[in-house]
Amino acid sequence: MTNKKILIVNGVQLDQTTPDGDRPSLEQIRKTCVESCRLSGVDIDFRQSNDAEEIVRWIIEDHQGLGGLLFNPGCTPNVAEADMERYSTALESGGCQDLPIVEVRLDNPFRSTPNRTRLLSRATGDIGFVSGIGAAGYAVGIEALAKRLGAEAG
Amino acid sequence: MKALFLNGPNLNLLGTREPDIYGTDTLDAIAARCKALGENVGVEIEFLQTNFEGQLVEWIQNAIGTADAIVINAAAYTHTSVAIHDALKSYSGFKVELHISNPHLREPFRHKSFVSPAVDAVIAGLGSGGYDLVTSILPDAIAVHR
Repeated sequence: MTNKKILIVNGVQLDQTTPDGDRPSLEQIRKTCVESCRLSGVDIDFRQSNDAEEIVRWIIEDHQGLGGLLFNPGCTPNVAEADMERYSTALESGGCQDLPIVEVRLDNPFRSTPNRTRLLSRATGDIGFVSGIGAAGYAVGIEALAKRLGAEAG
Repeated sequence: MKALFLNGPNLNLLGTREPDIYGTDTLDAIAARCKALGENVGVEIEFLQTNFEGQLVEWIQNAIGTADAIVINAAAYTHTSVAIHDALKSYSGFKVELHISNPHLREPFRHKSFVSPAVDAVIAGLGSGGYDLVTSILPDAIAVHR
């Protein structure tokens, strides 16, 4: 039996670190994800893009056969509200309704931008949300998705 | 290391109340799992539940200087309680807001959280397994927070 794959999508400016060094680099995040997927026995497809259109295309075209989607749209001031709406619309599109999804944010966006924060949404099915623990949030999201896959398989 | 898990109103009914949303695990079962897992990772866990807002405020106040972390599922008080917001602001240890479901995908009256701006981390929508996952990250999160 082949492993189920988790698609990990990193959005705008997550390829850049902050001058204060508070934010983990994309390479650090990737390493965390590779290790977590290995421990959980799931395959990994790790991506980053600064182009919302490309991310929408990934969601719509590449969700088939996935065991789950881990999605960090970016840090709130960098993500346009319109893009969050486009992502959420894409998550409503055919086949995505039942896809297990966890939204990960490096920071707690409600602390820095309480009135400007929008989360991913869809009409059916829950979306997990993990924020404020940096790259460890990816590990938590991967474990949650993998546990769900294990429960479905068993 | 010591962590306080605080649970708010109606969570004592877990396992029987709207199981399609909240699952079939009882709060006692979740508490037992967290305590066992905490022991493995070196965190002593005190797991509490109340239906009273003021009791949550007192527990948060008592945590000042005595606990390294608070994990709080304030349940319905999340969306109403300035008192809990203020109490959390006065606690400087590591703070996590936890929910079984994702309140942002439910009724609009659950979209506003008075807890979120007062905590370090927000974890929601991972089912009752969210309690286990939070427990496992506590040692590192407490160490980073210090």
